Amino acid sequence: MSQEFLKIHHIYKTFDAVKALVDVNLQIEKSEIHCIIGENGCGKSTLMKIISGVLPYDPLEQSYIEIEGKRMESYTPAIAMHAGIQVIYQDLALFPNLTIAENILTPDRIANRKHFINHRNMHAQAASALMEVQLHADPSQYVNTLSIAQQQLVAISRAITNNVRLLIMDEPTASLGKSDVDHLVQIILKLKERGVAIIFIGHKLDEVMKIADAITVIRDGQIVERLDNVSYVTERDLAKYMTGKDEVSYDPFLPVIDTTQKPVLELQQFTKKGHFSNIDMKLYRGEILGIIGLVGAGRTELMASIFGLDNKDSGTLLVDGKMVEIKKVQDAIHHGIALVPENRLTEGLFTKKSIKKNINVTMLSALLSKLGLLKMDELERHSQLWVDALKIKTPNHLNPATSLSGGNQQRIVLAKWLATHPSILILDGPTIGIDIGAKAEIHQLIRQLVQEKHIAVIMITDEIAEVMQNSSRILVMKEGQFVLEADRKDISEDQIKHALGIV
Amino acid sequence: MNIITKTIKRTHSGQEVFLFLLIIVLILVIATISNTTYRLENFFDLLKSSSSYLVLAIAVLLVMLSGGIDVSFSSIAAVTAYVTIHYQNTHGGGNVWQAFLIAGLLGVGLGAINAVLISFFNLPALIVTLATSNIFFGLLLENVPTAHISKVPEWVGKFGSGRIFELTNAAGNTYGLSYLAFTSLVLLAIFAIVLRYTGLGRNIYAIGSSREAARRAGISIWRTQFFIYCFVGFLSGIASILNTSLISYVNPFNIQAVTMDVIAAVVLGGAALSGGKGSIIGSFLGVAILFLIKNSLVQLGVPSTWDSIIVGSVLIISIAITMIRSESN
Repeated sequence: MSQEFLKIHHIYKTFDAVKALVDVNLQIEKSEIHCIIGENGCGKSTLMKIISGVLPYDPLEQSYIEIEGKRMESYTPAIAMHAGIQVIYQDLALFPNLTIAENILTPDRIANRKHFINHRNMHAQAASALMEVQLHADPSQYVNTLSIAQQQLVAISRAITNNVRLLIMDEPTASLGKSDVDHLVQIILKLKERGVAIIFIGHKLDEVMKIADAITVIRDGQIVERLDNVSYVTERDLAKYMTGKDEVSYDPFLPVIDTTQKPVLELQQFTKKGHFSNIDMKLYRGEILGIIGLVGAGRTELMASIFGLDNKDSGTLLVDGKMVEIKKVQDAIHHGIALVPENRLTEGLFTKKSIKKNINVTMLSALLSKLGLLKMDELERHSQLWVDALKIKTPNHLNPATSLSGGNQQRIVLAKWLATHPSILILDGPTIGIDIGAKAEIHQLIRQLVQEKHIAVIMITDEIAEVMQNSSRILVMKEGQFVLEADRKDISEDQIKHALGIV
Repeated sequence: MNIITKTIKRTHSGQEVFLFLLIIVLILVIATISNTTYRLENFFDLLKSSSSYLVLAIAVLLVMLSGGIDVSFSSIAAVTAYVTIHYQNTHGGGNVWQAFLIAGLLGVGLGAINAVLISFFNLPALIVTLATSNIFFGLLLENVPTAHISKVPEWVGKFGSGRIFELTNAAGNTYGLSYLAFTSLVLLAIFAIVLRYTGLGRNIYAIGSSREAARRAGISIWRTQFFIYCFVGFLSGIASILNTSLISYVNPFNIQAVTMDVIAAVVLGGAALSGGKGSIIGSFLGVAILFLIKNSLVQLGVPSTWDSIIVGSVLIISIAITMIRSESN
């Protein structure tokens, strides 16, 4: 008896003239944990949409989908769902204002056309579903009171309740802490035991992928590798398969810093109750200072108070040795400070506006004519200048920011702040959600900036590798305080891990 | 100020309990200032005079729960009141059931126009209903420049003053539960059940809570929306008959002026403009608070021109309270 659950044969997908998928063949066994990885825009999301029936594939003679050995004549979301294929998207698609019980059982109610609701019954059913995912919560609790990890478990128990046979999860660990990931791994192994097949989508090798039975790598719409033995795969191998290039060499960035010079930025006893306390910090020209801390360590709040987005309670801030008071963003810009925020989509970009408008926005007051009106030709020139300087890949800078890949979007955010000629550049999570290939390019760009323009950079991240590769000095932040300060050459990854408390 | 914010945050109980306590405080304050005592009869009076508001509040709640908005309900009510009474006057008077039927059906018809524009053509609800509100009301005035009817059918007086049961107070005056109040209470009960215990009701909450999640769960969004906007029309029709029975004549301007009051009451009752949040009990209490305030202004001798200023202030205060409370969660 064959153990295969899903088999797709010679699938092609074309959007306008763009080939999103080319001759994709994939087989998923029952009880198999299968990872599909690739860079953004490689076609993995398209493939998932085809598997869940949301997108039709190109109607070619040789293309078809088989479920448990049966060739599907037509394939729609309803048919896929009926066959037990469930997708958990990154946004989880939950109802925030409704109870856990309703969230779990609404699809079931719709599918079975139940017109009346028995709340007691529903809560009992939901309670047993929650047991399966070991979520200790009251089914009558509202979903918007749960943490992201708990919400994800609700989404999983919703899938289980709807008789899942193949569970597709889009980057399930993207916003989870370590213990939550461990919990997720447990639940997934349990599902596997029950014969459920699981597909993970991602772009890096993480904890969950270590339990995978197979990894498929997609590049430019084609399957380039299928690895059936996962235990020997390294992040480096995967990066190579995904980008098709050998890894960019990563010499650590170790400029010689003259620490006798006046620091360009100095913090003395910076304190904000509940976020950070007694922070002392010095930043010198020509260096990339790495601040590493887990989510919630207070790093983002500290930077927000330096940039005037948020007020501190007490402490002194010196720029070039002079005491300054920064109360609003305009003050910070005036003193040559620029901040590239953590979430470029919500805080860093006007996503629907053109690349040109995004780049120009910090410079509008400098591009005025004598009458106080904007000089249109200057706007054009200024934006094109930065598109060229940062090698933003776009056919036209009038295209919206959303038309670009994550790496190129990040370049726009960098461009608009570099245009203000900052002497202090704060980068909060500069490569979050950016592919490996593009990530290395962003790192190169930052190093180049530091060397050529002799500015000072603060790089905030939660990836140890990122600070080790790029920072000359490293500060470890935990619970609102710096717990470790060291030169890159005097410190090891293990010491950082130890300081962060994650070993 | 800080203490007030903290107190509001600490009341973790539902908006309904909070409103209930607010009503008690209001009654105590008003009673102290105006030196009158509140009796059961005041309560029945309040129910009667707010009956059409209560029905309109159901309509506004339904549409707000789904994440939409409708500002045309009062214009629909103005049209249904006029057309129904005019028809009955020229066709032998009719009775109350006939009035409800005509007004209700006509309301559904007008609501369906909103429904088609919003559900099928995917136009923004606020703009659509703002436009149709003007069109409905404009067409009414265009056809009947003096849209007042002071001579109403005979049933109006009976229905307007009739009571389900009567009690006698110490002074020998009778009071009791009016037909008008009874009608709105029945509708409130029906919709409380619909919203809590039927698939349709839960779908309304679901699409307001997250439209994308609702779509992925297989809920038909256009069908749910279509139903809602038609039902807003229906309830507006019913409310227009209650209003006519209360004041014993037809005055489109009187009905049309309630739009913001009703929306304010529903928001005060805890409904979120973003959808997915709100309840029938909350809306009921919201209307009750609005009427308590309005009534007490009369008792305190405040000129009625102050009404809209007070309603506006109540709206701002209520939304501020809601924001502070949601912050603490």
